[in-house]
Amino acid sequence: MTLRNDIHAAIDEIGPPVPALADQILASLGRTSGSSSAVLHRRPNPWRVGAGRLGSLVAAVLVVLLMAALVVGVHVLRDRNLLNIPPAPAHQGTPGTTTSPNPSASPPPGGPVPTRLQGNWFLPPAAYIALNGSATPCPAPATAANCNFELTLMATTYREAYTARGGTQQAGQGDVVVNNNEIDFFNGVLCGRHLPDGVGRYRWALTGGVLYLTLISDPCPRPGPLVYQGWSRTP
Amino acid sequence: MGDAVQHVAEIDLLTSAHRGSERAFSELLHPLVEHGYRLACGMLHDAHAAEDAVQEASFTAWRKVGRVKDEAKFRPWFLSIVANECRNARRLKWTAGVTLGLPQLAIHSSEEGVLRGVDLRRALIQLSDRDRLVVILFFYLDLPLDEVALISGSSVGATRARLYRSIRRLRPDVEIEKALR
Repeated sequence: MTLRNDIHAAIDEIGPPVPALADQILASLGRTSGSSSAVLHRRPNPWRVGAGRLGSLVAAVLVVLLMAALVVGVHVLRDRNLLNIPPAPAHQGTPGTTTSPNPSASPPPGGPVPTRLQGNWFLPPAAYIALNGSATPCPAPATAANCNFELTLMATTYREAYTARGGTQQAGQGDVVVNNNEIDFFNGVLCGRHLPDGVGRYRWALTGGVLYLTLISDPCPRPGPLVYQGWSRTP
Repeated sequence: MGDAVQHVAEIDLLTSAHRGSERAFSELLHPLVEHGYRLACGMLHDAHAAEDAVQEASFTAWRKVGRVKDEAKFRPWFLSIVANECRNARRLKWTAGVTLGLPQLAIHSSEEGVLRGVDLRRALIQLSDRDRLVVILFFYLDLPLDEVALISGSSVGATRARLYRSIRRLRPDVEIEKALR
């Protein structure tokens, strides 16, 4: 096979044809434009503000300033006990836990992360360079300390981070449950999907101190580093 | 004669799109969405992220269609927007930039074809964004080199050099001319 054929085959595997995509996009374009007629108003250029639009803009800014002044004023008066405002009810729930945007949606079945899985897990510099090196390069020379991926599993939450040029950057976080040999990530802040959507389902295995994750399904752009290779306790 | 009629029709479409006709813009864009999707798949290795990138690119194209003066340049112009959206997606979502699009299970597959695909995708993802863009446009979208250059914002010579360099990284044991077939 030629390189051209190989590239076609390799990319076709991950990008199945979506025959309706054009229709979907163009339909959503029409909805966004806010009109069903054939001729739609183009979105205005924000740098070309007419006199009437300028007036609206100034009015909007004034309204925002007025509301901000009201909020600040109420807080100042409450601090001075000049207003008899009852305190707000205490927040329900455990401090520090992620609040689900849809309380009625149940998380996937499972319990807290087993103790032996909790803590920090790392991918080494080679894995980082292979996966993300072109986007945010590592310092030269790349070492385990300055170039790695990090996955932190806590009892009910997880956090992703990477260390490269510029130091350690948090890359994502959310909630996690473990159900036998399945580990589910959800409410990921970078995914933007909320329960009941946005659940990334993986199988886990701990072999020789290395944590292996295998993708079952994940609608979020999360699986790349998770399944690339085993995670170790040291980078 | 037929070409002339078609050219006039295309000018009308572009002119209508300039005037805000969504129908004209849709007719211009519709055949290019698949190209954009395939480009985004090649750049991001993630079908869902690719769909998002093409959708964002379509919105951007709709807002800025007035900048296109020549219908012949509509395709490279749109694909360059898709490529830009892919770069943004990789910057904004680190995981989007590192998704391989295939679970570890497939890597353990014994089928030679699957292994070759995984290896090739891994090699592609290690290329820089601009190198990968050139490779995908030339080999996957089968575009001519001058259009690849236009989309990637480089000269034809620089694009050819970038392509040759990428081929050497993808297939160091294959002659360039053979790989270009």
